[in-house]
Amino acid sequence: MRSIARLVHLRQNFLSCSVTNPRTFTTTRVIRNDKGSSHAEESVTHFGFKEVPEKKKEDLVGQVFANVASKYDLMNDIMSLGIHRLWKNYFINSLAPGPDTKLIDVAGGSGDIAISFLKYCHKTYTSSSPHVTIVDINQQMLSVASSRLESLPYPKSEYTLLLSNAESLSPVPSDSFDAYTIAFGIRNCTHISRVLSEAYRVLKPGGRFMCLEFAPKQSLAIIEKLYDVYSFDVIPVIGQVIAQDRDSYQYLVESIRKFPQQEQFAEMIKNAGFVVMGKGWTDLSFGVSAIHEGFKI
Amino acid sequence: MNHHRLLSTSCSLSKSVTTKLIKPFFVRETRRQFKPSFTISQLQNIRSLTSTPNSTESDTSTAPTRQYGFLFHSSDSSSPHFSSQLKSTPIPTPPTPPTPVPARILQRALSFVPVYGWTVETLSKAAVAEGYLSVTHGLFSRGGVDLIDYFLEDCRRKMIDELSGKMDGLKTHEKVKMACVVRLNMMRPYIKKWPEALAIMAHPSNVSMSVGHLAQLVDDIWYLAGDKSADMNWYSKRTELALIYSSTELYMTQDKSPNFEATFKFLDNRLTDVMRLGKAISEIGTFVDFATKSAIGILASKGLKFPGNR
Repeated sequence: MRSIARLVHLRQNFLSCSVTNPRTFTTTRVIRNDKGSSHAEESVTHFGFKEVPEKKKEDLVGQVFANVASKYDLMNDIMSLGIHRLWKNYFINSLAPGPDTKLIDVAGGSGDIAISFLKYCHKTYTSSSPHVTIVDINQQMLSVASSRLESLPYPKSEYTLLLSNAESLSPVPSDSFDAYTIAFGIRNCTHISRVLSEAYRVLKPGGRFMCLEFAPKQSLAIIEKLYDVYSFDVIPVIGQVIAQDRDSYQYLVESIRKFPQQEQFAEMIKNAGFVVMGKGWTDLSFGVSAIHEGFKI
Repeated sequence: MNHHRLLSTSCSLSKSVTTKLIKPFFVRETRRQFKPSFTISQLQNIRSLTSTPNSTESDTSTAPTRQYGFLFHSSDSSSPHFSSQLKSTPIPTPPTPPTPVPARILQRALSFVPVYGWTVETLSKAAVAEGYLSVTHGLFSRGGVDLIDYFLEDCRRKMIDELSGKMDGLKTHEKVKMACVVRLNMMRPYIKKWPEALAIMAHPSNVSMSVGHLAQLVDDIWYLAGDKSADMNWYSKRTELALIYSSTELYMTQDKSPNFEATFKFLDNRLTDVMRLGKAISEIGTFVDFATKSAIGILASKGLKFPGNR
């Protein structure tokens, strides 16, 4: 076990020495500048394991996703060994939308959830009129979604693309959606509680909030150890090799550790006004990720 | 291979049955899940019902406080809020913050069962009928299983409500029969869709839920019938009744006779069988006892010494 880890470390050092990446330095410099200039007066938040001013986090996350947009799907498949597809399928199956469900998929830039949602509706019901609004803060990610959707046979009337921040969905009227989904997105937002209260606002009474997200706490100690080694020593290397971007994937694994634990996040969902059933979440793959739910009733 | 798997399933099944049944044997006063459906007035009815005239002095003096000690001792039991809580059937997973909406949806869903079965679709329709959305079915993460779980609990509570105060002066076997009839009558609207529920309940992950409900049901029936035994019969009575009730229910799913006459005849026959069997067993018991004692007496007279017979 240790020898594998060491091997990975060696490879990692080798790669980071041999491949130079201009983007890496750009990100680091931005942080350093901010830390130097405005340390005292602004409130800080975490960006991975680093502390950055709250105002900057959005830009930094935006940059991460602008960097990885083109390779996003491929990277997801490689990093999760395809398991993220199972998670997303399970996610839509437990949402089990009706024939005329109106869904808002926030941080849905890759289009994964939107596509499985439309697929589910058309497969399950002979006549259905589903609609999905895909919201993302990042134009590059949104264009990934739109190009994927255009290559599929779904009519344009069934989806809308919207460029907006999840913390203030100002173009969206209140009480207008049946279901709100956010898959692997809420982690990257600066103020999680604002995202949750916006979710509560846009949902109709009876609406369902569902969040698929990596979880920081695993249910088995052995899984936790393996997962730690994998995420800190393997994923950044894969990022370096496939997407030529180590920092973005270093951020990815760090941000997972910084995200509130399952109990805490369920508490935040309750605080936003949602009704939670039982403990409020379901662990997937021993708690590597989790589905959190809340109801506006 | 197959045989082995079958064996292991039946082992695990019988294990769960025993754990369910052993618990009250040692701590009989902790059959608490049964209790909260009573209000104080119903409770008094049942007490009058269960205390038989020929019960001994010590029995009547200790039984009520021991059995219902938790109610007499808890200070808030008389508040109206508490008694209203006692009446409603709890749902399988409780919501936080507490809200009656999930329970209302489940109750409403029962009226959709005859058409849509024990499915997520039923829950969706019920949610819409209650003024919510089709996706609100997500309140019940186990879908149809949650609905079945709720239904069984609801029926058991209704049975107790319906029987309390109506069984005075009946003999034990008549009380048992009456309870079974009342409970089976509750199946009437759902009986066409019941095989579907039985299939869901037989799924390995749901077996503990279904066996638990059956064990509780037969325990309650015996309790209402005034059974206070704490011997080995405790097990055999409950096992027999569980077999009779579940086989009658199964018979009922296939019953085409008007007003389910054949089902109630079937129930009658099974109960008579058991009574005959019980009588035979007790006769055999008496005979064996007599024969042993005589043998011991004869041997003792020949000069052999026995621990109990000096």
